[in-house]
Amino acid sequence: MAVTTAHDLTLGDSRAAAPPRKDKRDWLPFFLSFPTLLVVFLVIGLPLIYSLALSLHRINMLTRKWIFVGLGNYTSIIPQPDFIAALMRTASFAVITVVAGLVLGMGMALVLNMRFPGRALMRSVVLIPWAMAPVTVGVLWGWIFDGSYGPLNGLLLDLGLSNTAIPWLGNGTTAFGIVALVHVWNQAPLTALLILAGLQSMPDNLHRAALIDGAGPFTRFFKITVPWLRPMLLLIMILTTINSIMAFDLFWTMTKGGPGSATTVFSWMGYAYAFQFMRMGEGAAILYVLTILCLVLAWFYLKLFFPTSAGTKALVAAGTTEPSDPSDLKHAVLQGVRHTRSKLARLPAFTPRATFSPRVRRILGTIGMWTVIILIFVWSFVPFAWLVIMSLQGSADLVRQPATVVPGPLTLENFRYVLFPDTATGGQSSVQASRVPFGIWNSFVVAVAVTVVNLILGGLAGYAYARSGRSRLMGSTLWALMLTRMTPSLALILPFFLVFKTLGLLDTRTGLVIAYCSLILPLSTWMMKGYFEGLPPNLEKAALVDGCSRMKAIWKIVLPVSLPGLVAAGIFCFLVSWNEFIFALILTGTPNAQTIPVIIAGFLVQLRFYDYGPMFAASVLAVIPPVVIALLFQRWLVSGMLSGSIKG
Amino acid sequence: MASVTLDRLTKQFGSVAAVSALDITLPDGEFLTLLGPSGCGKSTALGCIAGLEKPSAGSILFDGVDVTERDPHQRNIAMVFQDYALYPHMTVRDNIAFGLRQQRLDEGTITRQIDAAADMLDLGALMDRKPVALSGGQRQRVAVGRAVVRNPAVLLMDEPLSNLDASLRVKTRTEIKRLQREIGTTAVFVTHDQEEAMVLSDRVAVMRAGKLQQIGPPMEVYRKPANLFVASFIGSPAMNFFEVEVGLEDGVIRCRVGDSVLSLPASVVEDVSLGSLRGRRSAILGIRPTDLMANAVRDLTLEGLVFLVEPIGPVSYVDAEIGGQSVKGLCEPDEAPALGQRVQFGAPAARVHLFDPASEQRL
Repeated sequence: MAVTTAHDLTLGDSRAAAPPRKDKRDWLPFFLSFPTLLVVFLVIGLPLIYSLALSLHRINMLTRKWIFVGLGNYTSIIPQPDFIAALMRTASFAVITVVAGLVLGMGMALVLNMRFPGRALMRSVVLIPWAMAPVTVGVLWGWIFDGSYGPLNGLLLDLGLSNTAIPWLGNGTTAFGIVALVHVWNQAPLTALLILAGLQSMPDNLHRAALIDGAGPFTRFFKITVPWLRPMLLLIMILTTINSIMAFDLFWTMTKGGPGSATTVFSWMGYAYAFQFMRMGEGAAILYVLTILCLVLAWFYLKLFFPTSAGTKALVAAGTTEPSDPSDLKHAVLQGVRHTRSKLARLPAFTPRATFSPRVRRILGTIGMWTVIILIFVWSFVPFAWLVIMSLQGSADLVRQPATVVPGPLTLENFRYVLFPDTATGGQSSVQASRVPFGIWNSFVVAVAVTVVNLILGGLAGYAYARSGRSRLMGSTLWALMLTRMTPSLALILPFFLVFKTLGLLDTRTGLVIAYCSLILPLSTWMMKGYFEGLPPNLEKAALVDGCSRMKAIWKIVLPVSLPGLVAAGIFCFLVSWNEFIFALILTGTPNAQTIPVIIAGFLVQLRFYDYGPMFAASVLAVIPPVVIALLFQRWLVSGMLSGSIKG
Repeated sequence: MASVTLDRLTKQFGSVAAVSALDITLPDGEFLTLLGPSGCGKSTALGCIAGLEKPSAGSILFDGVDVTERDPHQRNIAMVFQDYALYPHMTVRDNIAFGLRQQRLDEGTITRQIDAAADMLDLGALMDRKPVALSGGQRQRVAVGRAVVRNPAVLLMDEPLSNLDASLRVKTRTEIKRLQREIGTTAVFVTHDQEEAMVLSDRVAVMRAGKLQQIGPPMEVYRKPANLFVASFIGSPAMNFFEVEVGLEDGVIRCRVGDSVLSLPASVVEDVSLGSLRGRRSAILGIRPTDLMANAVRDLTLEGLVFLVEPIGPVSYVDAEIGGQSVKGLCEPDEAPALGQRVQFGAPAARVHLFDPASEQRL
């Protein structure tokens, strides 16, 4: 065998360099992500441009005349006291709900991260309020705070704490507070879930080290846990802020912006201008301001989210075993013996801090823990249970005077009204109740179609981004994609409404499926990207080496392996579609395409006392799929949250 | 089975050259190891041979045929990955059969081939399990089985042992060497573990920062490291180095280490370097700890102050300070010197290495 020496190598270096090979661009990732980008451009980009154009015009809906007014809509709206007031309300709503949600979510996450019997069940139960559609949440809580028959009044009357029913939602400040509370009830589980995921990613030894260093529980929480969670907390704050700014469903179902204008937040104002006063231009201008607000927040969110947390890296880096290449070899090998003269001082004798005896501490800890667990259970589960109980009440029992919380005899008649309207005795089933089966069917068809479309498109694009997100083209399109995820749907509705009207897509399920892609496609792409990034790239490489072409490697290896990820993303797609309200409300008008949240909202509009029972029955039917999914797939949802990290 | 030629192979990532102008020829059936620290380009070079990376310049030839532009599945290669990359949704049998099925062989041949591979690697009892139900060592064997069953022209291995525990690693290493000899396939093995490289290879190619530093049989690389980097990277514990003044007197090289003046035969340096030693000049002197024996009388004597003794069983390491430099040597465990005492190391003069301090090349 050839003997090579340093001198041979120097000779070898003098050979002419090989001519560079042409760097062929790899187009596959682009082709895979192109359909998604195209759809996102069509369902988000174009509507945003359209809505910008709208906001620059005054539009007469009858004559269909567009008059260009430049920034006139903005300049006429922005200085108005109504506008300023709505802005302030939105801001205070956001601050209140974000802070309350963070505190509550943190508390729940800390408890759920402890070890106790029934923890898995509790983790599922906590998710119930979040899995419920906001419309159902609004119906439920609107009823709880109802001024005449509501169970809260019933409870106060039963206990003798009050002699007259209090119209809770009739007082402006109270109503505002109640909507904020309900929003927190609905959104806190999301915060809890994200924090829980962060807590679980925390290396145990960090806490053990602090424990050995003598840190108590509070010191450890503030000095160890909170700093570890900081990137996650920032992310949560921005995410929940956007959710609070975009909140709409609850206002629609609970207060309609009233009483007076006490709960007229920004989103409601834009909605009211565009769809109640039919002043499209001004409505578009208001919603555009909202969009810009959200996009600015989203920009911060992405800036913070993209750099991965440095702390994890430092801990992981300790695990690599590969020798490193010293930059200054000569210095490294000739380093002399190091002598130090420093001496450690003797410290005063070690005295352990005195607290309660371990026994007392343990007992207090157990009592405290279970108190909090029970509180969380009551908070998360009892309102839901109450919804179920109300759906099992006869209509007359729901509107008893004076109000009471003692339930009347249970009956399944409400479910019969809404599920089998034809067989109901004596034609008692109202028109609205008879629409429920159609609503459920529509919701189901739309959700399945949306899920299939978005899994295929999002899966392909997610794969492309996971494997080649570092190229400049892919990186920038990914950025754009994520930014669009933060567009408030209200801002897209106006253009959708007008375009669908011309295309004849109003009141069709196809129209809803198209519109929902704007909500879900960025989400499914992002989730699938996260999942594919977790797959070892060597899996496809092995398939390539084993004789597969690239498409075959994806088909034969990547697809079967990523089935769990597809299922998780599919669940999310299904949930978001199933629970969506605003699009469905505005883009559908008849039972041809109305989804179940719209049907439930329809009960509210008609407000006939004999329909309360069927309304609650419909609500229960509407929350069954999401709640069952949340209960069954709680574990997957946590990891799904980490990769997808968002369901509105 | 094929010979492999890398002709000025270069892989550029942006402005960074991960591999630059790599020239290596492997005769048919050779076991070559690419060895180097993290970021030296060894895995990138392997990726280029596999076709998983496209070179920026240069070419790769199998049996004289240029395969540079071919996709991996057109090259008839097999690869063992560091994380094994077993298909998690397939049983061991299907994992091993996957590559054969892609070649559209008839099921009878496939079954016979799989059974033979299973027998060679002792996988019989595991064939119907999923990878998740296997231990690390078993997974490793399946990965090797999946690679060799295809009877590839070139077998590529990317750190296949580094996810195993120490004792299993030593066992599997022997196993891989035996298997490669039996099959007779050309093999390229990537590792950062110099011991693994020495044990397995016909030749070792040491790389640093994308460039080939030295290529040769293991003992040659060990005994005659081409430069300071190879000298410091190969051998455990690492070689001792001193900055010294050298000069040539009467055909004998003299240099001063600490308080001692050493006389070295002219044969420790290359003939071409001898001329440059006529005047006084500085050099870096290296000697392996295993060539320094405490209390032994050899050609050379080095004296230092003991500050640490580390028993490892058959021998003990003695750490001493010589001229401000920390030096490691060996001693008989029963004759270990006390801490703070003076110790005399004896060393064979032929085992001393001299390097040019500026170019870091071997003199």
